[in-house]
Amino acid sequence: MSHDLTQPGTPIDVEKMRTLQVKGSAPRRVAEGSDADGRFKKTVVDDGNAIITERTTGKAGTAPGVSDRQDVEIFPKTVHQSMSLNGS
Amino acid sequence: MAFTKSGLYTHTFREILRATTLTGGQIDLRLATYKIALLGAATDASSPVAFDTATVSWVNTNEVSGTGWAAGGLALSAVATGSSSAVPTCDVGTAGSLRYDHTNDLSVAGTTLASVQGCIIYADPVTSPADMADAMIVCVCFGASYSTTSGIFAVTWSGTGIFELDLTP
Repeated sequence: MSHDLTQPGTPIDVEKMRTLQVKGSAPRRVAEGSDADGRFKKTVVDDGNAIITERTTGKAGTAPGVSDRQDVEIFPKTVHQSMSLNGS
Repeated sequence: MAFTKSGLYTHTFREILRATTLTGGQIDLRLATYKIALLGAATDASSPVAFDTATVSWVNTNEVSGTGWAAGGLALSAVATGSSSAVPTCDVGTAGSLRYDHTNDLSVAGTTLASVQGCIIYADPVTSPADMADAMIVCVCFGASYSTTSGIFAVTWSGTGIFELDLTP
């Protein structure tokens, strides 16, 4: 399947994730796609604890423009408490 | 300053095990009337993440709220996809452990939130005694700061639940 970002509705393809570094910022792993209106979207995996998906005003395949929507999905670890059995 | 530690509120569990009479109903972790509030830049061992404090009433110190997420938090009955219930459960989890979990993960659309670093689940219906009103149950640290813009705020809980008490270590 082609991954033509100039076409509206191109799904974000995590198989095409790449490292993006903006000057002055830490490198981030990103994959790109476009929404049904042809606007640029990208999924950013920041730190292994969450996935951030940004949508920008720019048309896909052109300059991204500014972010106008950001979703976040967080994956917290289980809070795990153990009893301590002294002398066991 | 970011806080770094998740935890359970010891005084809450002490009062549960002592069968302390509460106004608004006894602690029942299966209730969807309990709320989840968001937390920003708290400091470890300071309110509201001082887990050994003798007053466990939820407070809005360092709370994060915004568009789509009201101050005071959202009821668990409306935090899953489409404002459906999270359906909290409390049952045996990993062998020998007691697990608190939500059947449906948290997913709230249309939010604009800044610098969320964790969340607190608390017993909103409990009104007295004063040390147990709005009793906090658990605080989960997200490990970093997250924001949304007109978007979905989602938390996908671990397959081993929100918390587990290992009773057979």
